[in-house]
Amino acid sequence: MDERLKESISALMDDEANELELQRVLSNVDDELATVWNRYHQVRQVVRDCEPDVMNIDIRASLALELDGSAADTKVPFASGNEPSGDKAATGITARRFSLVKSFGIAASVAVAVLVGVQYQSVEPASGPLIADTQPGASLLETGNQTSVIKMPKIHVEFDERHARRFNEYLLRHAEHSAFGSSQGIMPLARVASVNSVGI
Amino acid sequence: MQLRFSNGSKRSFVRFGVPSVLALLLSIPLGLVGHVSASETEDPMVWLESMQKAAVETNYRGTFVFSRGEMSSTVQVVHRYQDGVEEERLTQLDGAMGEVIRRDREVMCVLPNNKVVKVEQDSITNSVVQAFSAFMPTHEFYQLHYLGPARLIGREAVKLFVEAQDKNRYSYQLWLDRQTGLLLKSSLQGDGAELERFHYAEITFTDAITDEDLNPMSKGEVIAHEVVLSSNKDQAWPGGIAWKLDWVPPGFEPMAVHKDPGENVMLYSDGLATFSVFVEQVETDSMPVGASIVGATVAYFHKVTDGSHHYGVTVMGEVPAMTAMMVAESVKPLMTSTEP
Repeated sequence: MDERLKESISALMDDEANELELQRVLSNVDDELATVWNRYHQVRQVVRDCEPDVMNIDIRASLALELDGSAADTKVPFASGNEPSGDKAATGITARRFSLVKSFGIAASVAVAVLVGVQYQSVEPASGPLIADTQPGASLLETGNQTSVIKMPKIHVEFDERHARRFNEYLLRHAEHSAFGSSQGIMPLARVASVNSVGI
Repeated sequence: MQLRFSNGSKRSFVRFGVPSVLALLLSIPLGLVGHVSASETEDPMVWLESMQKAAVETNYRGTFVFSRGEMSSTVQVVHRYQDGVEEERLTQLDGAMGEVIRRDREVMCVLPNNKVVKVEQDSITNSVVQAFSAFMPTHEFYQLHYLGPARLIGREAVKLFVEAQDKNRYSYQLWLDRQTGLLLKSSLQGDGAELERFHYAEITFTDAITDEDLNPMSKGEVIAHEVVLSSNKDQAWPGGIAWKLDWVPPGFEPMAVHKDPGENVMLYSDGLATFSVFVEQVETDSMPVGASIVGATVAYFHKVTDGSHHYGVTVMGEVPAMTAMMVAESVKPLMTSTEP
């Protein structure tokens, strides 16, 4: 990838791309560009000391949504329910012709919810139903023409007293093993000390 | 991050920042470092080594907050390193007062009702120490980034980003005290969400720590001692078989694996994250099958049948649930039972 293209991506991320730069990026959408785009975003999030909220985006999905002009109308349920920027981003699209960054925002939310949400389980109770419906067996995942079977772990986030006692017992045993000389320092014991009822 | 290349204009951040960002990603020295001393290096690996050493050898007392999602807990800590012995006391400041006391390799919990819980001392603890020291994360599985200076709880600090390279481990943001290297704050992230946050609210570095400071604060007599068996040593139960893991996430190395009869505990680490594998008799109060999650910690419980015997496999550690599941389900007897 040449430097000019990278610079155009930078400009796009900075919401300052001109039409030429926009066209340059659009005509070069491929896996490599998608990778670079994602890397820049992740690093920028970290640099800005924010939670990385735009991770693993399929840039093609984002662009497709933008190009057919349907991003602002598209109603896609958010799996994680924590994408507060949606409405704001939608306004941005209609107001500014080249505000791709903002439209990326909404499309990214969609993409994250659709692409990432199915591959990984959030521990937030908000996504509980998704997981609670999942049998310890397998769940079907449609990907294009292929149907692949991905086994999902059954997730428990609310414990009864007996369950919590067992969990804490393992937490203590694991901490004792991993506390010594590991690069984690105080963290294993901090995990033990910060559960509601210490130990068992 | 304080970007060195920024010249003030907003746009310059990305335009000029990207090369520096790329440099960080590739762990290429930025070439702007004049002289390098212990507290001025920008090599994240040097800082990680410094953090590991400081965690053991620094004397301090402080208060930290540990958060998992919306739950958080405030804990007071006293840490002393004297004559080669590490001692630590952690006291819960919220709710009922529970304490965790550590003296060298022994850990015990003092519960609010004065009941003391200890883990039975097992040989794994001794073997772990040598294995762990100098075992650091490798570039293959974590990208290390030095993100620049920071200021925390009134102290000069540096910020690092330890970026997981696959889905079998988590990423960490770490803030280290510039003077001592001690970890002042950490944020553990999985798929863009913060699962666990640890940070000091205040800390004092002092050598004036007495034995009294390290004793349990709980008043009154200890009413009961309870020992948690570190492994099932019941020889009548066919625990004396050896186990193997058909799959371990890449980068994780065995820190201690017990093949003695009845000793079914295995510990793995990739230099940052660890998980333990316990193989035991299935008991009536075993956890439900699946992943039990608290913050970044998962306990995946899975049942294995060998011949006519049933075993429970528990994988516990700071790894994603999917990874814990794959490890747990790969546990097999080394030799399949010959019983009908």
